[in-house]
Amino acid sequence: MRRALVWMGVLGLLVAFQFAAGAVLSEYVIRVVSMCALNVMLAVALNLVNGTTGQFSIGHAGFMAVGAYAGAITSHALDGRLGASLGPVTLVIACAAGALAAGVAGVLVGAPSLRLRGDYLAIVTLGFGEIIRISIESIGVLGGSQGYPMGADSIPPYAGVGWMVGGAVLVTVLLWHLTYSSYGRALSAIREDEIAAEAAGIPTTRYKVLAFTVSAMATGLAGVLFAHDATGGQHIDPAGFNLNRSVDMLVMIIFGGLGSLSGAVLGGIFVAVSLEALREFQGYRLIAYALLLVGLMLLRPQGLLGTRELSVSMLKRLVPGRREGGA
Amino acid sequence: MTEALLTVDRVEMVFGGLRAVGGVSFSVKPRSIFGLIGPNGAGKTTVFNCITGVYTPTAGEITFQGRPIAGKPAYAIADAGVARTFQNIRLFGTMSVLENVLVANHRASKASFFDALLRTRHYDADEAAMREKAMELLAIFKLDDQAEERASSLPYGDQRRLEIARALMLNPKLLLLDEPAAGMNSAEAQVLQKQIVALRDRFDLAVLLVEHNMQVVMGVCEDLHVMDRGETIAEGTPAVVQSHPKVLEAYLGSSVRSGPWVTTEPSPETPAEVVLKVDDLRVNYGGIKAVKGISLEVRRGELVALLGANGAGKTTTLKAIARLLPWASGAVQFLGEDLAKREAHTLPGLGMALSPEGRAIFPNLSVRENLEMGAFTVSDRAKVARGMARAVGLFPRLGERLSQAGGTLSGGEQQMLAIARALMSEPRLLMLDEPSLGIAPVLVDQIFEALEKIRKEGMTVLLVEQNTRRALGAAQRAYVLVTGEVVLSGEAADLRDDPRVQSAYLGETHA
Repeated sequence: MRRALVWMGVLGLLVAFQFAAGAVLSEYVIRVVSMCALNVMLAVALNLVNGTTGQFSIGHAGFMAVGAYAGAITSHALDGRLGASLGPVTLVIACAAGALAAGVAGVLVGAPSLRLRGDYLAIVTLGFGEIIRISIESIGVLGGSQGYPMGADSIPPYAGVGWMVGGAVLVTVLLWHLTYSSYGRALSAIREDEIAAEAAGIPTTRYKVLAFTVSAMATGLAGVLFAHDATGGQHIDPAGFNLNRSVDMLVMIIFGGLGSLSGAVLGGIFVAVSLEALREFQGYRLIAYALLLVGLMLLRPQGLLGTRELSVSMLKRLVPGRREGGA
Repeated sequence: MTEALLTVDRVEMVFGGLRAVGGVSFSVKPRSIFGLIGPNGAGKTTVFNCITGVYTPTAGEITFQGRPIAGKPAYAIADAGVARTFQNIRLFGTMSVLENVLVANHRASKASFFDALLRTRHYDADEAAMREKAMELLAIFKLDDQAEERASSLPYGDQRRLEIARALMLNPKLLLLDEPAAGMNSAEAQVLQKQIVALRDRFDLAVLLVEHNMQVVMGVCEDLHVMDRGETIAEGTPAVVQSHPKVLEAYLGSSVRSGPWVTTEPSPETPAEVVLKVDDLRVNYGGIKAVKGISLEVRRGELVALLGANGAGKTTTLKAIARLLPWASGAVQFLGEDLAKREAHTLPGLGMALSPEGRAIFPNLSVRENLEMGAFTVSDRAKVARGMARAVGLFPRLGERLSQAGGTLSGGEQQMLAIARALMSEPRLLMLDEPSLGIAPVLVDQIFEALEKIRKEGMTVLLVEQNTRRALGAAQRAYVLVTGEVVLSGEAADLRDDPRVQSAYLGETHA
């Protein structure tokens, strides 16, 4: 019962935020907050596979694309019938459709390829990501490389900042539960030693597919919200889901510390904020960004938090400036 | 006649062209303690891996509680009630001690995936029950105080016990222990014997034991099955097996009958030049003082042993000398050179070779390539060829296996390879870390004989060993460490009969 109340409370806050944000915050700030929320979803989702389970996917942009297209097609079809007043309903259905589609893609990619290890899996997922992108480019109904939807149409912009932040909270809380549950322990055990995990009764292949599928669904959900982002362009195209997008996600979790969920949250926010902050470098923005990443990795190769989670005691230790590790 | 819990029926395992196990049959009764023994390379661990589903046997059947299990996935066999430990400890290193044990209870958990995802009350109750059970188990192994520590930070002996605790969390009917006494001294092995019997009684299970330590094997096993080169050579009670001529010949080697072999040669009267001089060396691991001011020296042509129980700081000292660990303070001179300013990778060039604990051979490279890697800094081809010939001369077994992958060698052969590799660069000082760890006595003999040969050729050796008798048999001088300090040092011949050496060990195990 208390849990239900907490969830209701969070939902209330998000709704209030959704409506109050427009009045209090500038459009620019809302845009940045939405981007942060999107990144958090992507990073937390990828961390489940690459961090917790110790597999290596660099094709998650593919799942994001599947989610975004499935969601956008769903809402495009529903919106005409339900109308703008039922926008939230349309969006929820679109989210479910996108997550489901991405989950199916996750099983299809994961089941055969998760028997492979390390770099092999990386190559398979890389291929998957590119196949999805190129397939979309060549499918006329989806708008090909022009993007979706075609012509003057647009995706209904129902995902306001409250929805974006809500999505990030939902994904983070659910995956936190999962990571710090008996299932999460089983996944970490696979990362640490697959043979010992099997000997402890963990069906490793099945659990890797499970983690991969859950991660794909969360990434798909992020894709749906991205497509409907009220501050975005209400238009998606395959180029938005290329290898760069996957690499971005990797940067977020490696920066935050592979295997640390709070690290993934911080990493997602960091990437969004630093790309914004570097805008004044204009044409040199990406060079500055790359230098920033190289610098951070030299200073803290294990990422911001390593494999640990953010905690009060960690913050206390930060204060006197004494810290182990580093270069 | 009770029905067998586990029946292994004519099991065969062939890798490539190598017949690792050729038709082995035995059965284990419920609540019995059964020993599977044999020299290195006999195929014991391969049989273990067939039983636990790591390998699918090429032929034969394995039955557990009346059901065939050969070829089933490892997790299903674990589920059915067959738990195991590993020869080279496999813990979930970055996870806590408690989490390690909890992983093994995951399949017994009643909470569904959605319970976990939504963190329902049902999940919380289930998790609390699991934790309680795990803590009880840890308390039995006196690991409950370290429940929240990283598993990889535990001392070696605790890691072994944690592996057993994790295996027991599966509620097994059969527990397979793969060399649980490896790396233990005699007193610790005695404690282990009692623990194995206590485990059987307390958890009502059968134990299948692979072990080299004969004291443990003969002390606890009710039935034995002896293998050599993949074949059964004897079976029966310890008394029967002990006096079986085939077993004596194949397994124990002639050296056991003629008693421990001891060199009687004293140190030369005129002291040779000092090769290695360690002065008040201190090493800390975080807050723990692992080495608390050790001073020692090794002279040219000497074999010096560094002795002590597990956790005494022997390996730490060796690694610190090789600059693989940072020093807190102190000084080390090697051939007159101050090592404080040196980096680890420059030391082989100076003539210092380290053969690390756990051997660290390159598993996917052939024996020949492994040896060539040892001569990486040598550009003189004639020298490499000479080193290769010497390696084969010292260890004929390596000569027979030059093109075999290093990882397919048995533990003892890998140790030989590690020593031979360290010698390839013709070092001025050879440092060996625990060359006898987990190796059959007959191979330990061969290794120590080779050491003796190397030393007679003029090599200087610093040997870390917990097998005191062996080491004192081979060395001229020795230092005995207890908790990071030298408590005793002197001529090996004097230390052999010194009761203080033994008390240094026993004192530590009871502390």
